[in-house]
Parts: sequence; C-alpha cells; structure tokens
Amino acid sequence: MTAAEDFAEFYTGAFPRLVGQLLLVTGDLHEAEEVVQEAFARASTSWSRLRDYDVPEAWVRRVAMNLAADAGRRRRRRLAALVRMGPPPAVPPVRVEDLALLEALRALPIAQRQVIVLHHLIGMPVGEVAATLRLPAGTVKSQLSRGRRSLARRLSEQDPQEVGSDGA
Amino acid sequence: MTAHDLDARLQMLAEEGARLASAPGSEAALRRGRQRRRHLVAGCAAVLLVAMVGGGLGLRPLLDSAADRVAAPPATTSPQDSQQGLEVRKVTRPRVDAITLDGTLDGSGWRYTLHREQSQGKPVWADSLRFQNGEGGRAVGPFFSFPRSFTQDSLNAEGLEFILGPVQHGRVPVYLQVSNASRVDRQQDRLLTALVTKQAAVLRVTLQRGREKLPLVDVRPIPGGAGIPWNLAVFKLPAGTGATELALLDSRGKVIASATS
Repeated sequence: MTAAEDFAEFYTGAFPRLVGQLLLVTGDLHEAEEVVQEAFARASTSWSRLRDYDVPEAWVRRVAMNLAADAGRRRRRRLAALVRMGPPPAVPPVRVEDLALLEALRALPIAQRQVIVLHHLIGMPVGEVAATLRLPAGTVKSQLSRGRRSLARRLSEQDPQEVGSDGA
Repeated sequence: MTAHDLDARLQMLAEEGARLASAPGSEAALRRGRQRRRHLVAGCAAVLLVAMVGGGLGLRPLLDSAADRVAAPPATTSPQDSQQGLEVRKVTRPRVDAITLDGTLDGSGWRYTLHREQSQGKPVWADSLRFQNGEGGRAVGPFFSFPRSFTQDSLNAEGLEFILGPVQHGRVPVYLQVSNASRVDRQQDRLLTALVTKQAAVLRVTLQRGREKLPLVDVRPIPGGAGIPWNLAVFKLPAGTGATELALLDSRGKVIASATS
C-alpha cells in the first residue's frame, strides 16, 4: 500500500469520528470540519513519520484541538471558509435534546469543553488529559468539575453533585 | 444527570456529528498540505533573500573562511555556550516576561528579542531577530528583522515541526521551534534560533554539507527565566551546510526528542 493510499484510508476512517469529537469543542459543524481538515493537511506533510505512530489519530486530534482553541485563527478560518464556500450547505436537523446539549456545551469556556470531550467522550484518564492539554492535573479536575456543574445547571437536570461521581 | 449519562449523551452527539460530517477528501488534505509546505519553503526563501541582500548591503561578509569554521566540538565533549564566529554578548531581561539577546555573528551584530504581548486571555508571544548594520560594532539601527507572534498553543502546533517534521516525547509536547532554517543552500552563515523545552540541557545539531555529514554540535540553551516558558538556543549554520537533525538532550544526556528534516 502506498503512502497516499495509506493516508487516504486513515483519513476516511478517522475524519468523521474526529469531526464528531471536535463538534463538541467548536460547537459548529463547519468549524469542526475545517479544523480537522487543517489538522489532516498538517499530518499529510509528515505522514511518513506519523504512519508509524501507535495512534496517529491522537496526533491529528491534538492539533485540531489546538487549532480549535485559537480564537484568532478561528475568526480567520471562518472568514476564509465563508469566502471559499459561499453560503453554508444545509445541515440536516439534529434532535432537540442534542441541540440542547450542544447549546449548553457552547456556553462553556473552550478549555472546559476540551477537558470534557477528552475525558468523557474519548475516555482519557485525567492524567492523560492533563498531558495532552499541557495542564496540571488539578486544573483538569477543576475544569471538569466546573464544566459538569455548568452543563447540569444549563440542562436543568438533576443535582449537579451527581455529575462527577466517577472520581475524576 | 450522572457522569455516565453525560458520557452517553456526548457519545450520541459526537456520532450525530460524525454522521453529518462531509469530508472534503484526503486529496484535498494532501493538496492543502503541499500548499502549506510551499508556503513554508517560500517563507524560508524570503529569509534567504533578505539575508543575502543584507550581506550585500553592508554586513560584514560572512563567507570568508567559512569552511575553516565548520569544525564543531565533538558531541561527546561538554556543550559550548557559543560557537566559533558566534557570540552571545549580552542577555537582558527588561521584565520577567521578556528577554533580549545581543550577539555577533562573524563580527556583525544581531539582536533577538522575545516578549509577551499585552493580550487578554491566552498569552501572545512575539519574537524578532534583527541584524544591525554598523562598522566596528557600532549599531546604526535595525537592519532587517523577522518578527512573528504566536501563542503557546500555536507554537505547540507549529513548533512540533522542524522543517515539517513533528517532534514529541511520549505524550509530552516538546517546544522546538526553529526559525531561519531551511533546506535552501545558502552561501552565508545563518543564525538559527530555537525555543526549546526547559527539560532540555542540550540542543544537538547534526550538520551536513552536501552528502557529507559533519561533526555533531552541542548547544547549551540560554535560560529563559521564570516568566518565559522556554529556554533559548542560538546556533550558527555555517555557509553551505544544512541542519539535518535536531535533538534535545536532558541533563543526563538522554535524548528526549528529536526531529529530522
């Protein structure tokens, strides 16, 4: 299998999954697609090395997370995407409860969204989240705690204390 | 909502996002990657052009006896704080989040500055490298500069590249940013500045001239200080040579990260 075929296979398998994950961080599907595509573009230039990694997807995810966190670039990307694509294509509607969760996530600071996605969605332990985001473990724990409390409050659900009972 | 419920709902939402995602395709990513590589090469070529113009306009010629200066201390000896022909004369810390290095490259003055810019939210850093035009060491003024600004995050994303190669040590990101290095063969000595992780005691550089490998050169980073998240390494790429590999070594001599061009 050539490097290009190998990359294409990796891209096809990982792109939708990463967009799904980054959607929760960016709060915007097109923005998520854009940062993931940019991360893949960067991966392509170093693919000969990355293909030997145990989990090249983790590298792409980390770059996409960094890109998503950069507000200045985000504005420029949005502008560039608008210029390039014109009006955004219609997106099929999501379920009401998904929309509520997305809205609640979007209201959180991006650092809290990142730790929530890495811990709750990707399933990383706190230590790994801390290493990925280069934060102290204590900061990750407090961000997780605040984020979950805030999510619970916004979703008007049960006692916020209940969210976080996994000992993170 | 329990943590378990949250996991499940996030999973469903992510799956929904994955279902809705429309992939531009791997070909588009490869195209964008190639474009990005071209931009990087073009940027390096621009630096080369500026350096050559600078040399022609009054900087002391950097070519003389360059071949004699290539010989670097063997990597097994203690690291050098400065190379022959390259001198860091002064380190100034005007404030905790700023540092200025003044030095000479083959007798011509240069100044590297790094400081934190006033910004809300995440810190934004800016650095620049200037060469000074002057005679007898008298600085007339900034001759040319290579300013840039970045956040720690963007440096992390960008800084994981040494001429397009990622650097990482396990899951710990390593800041290794190289400016003024390119694959372009230059006919002048060049100054290479690097922001390196504070874990690194030595930046080891593998040089090559054409197909010939030159002796390894070890450079000891200059402490960035408490307010700066990196240390700084300054290094001279002798005329006609290219850096083919960079490695960061800890205080015990163990390689903690490396990258090849």
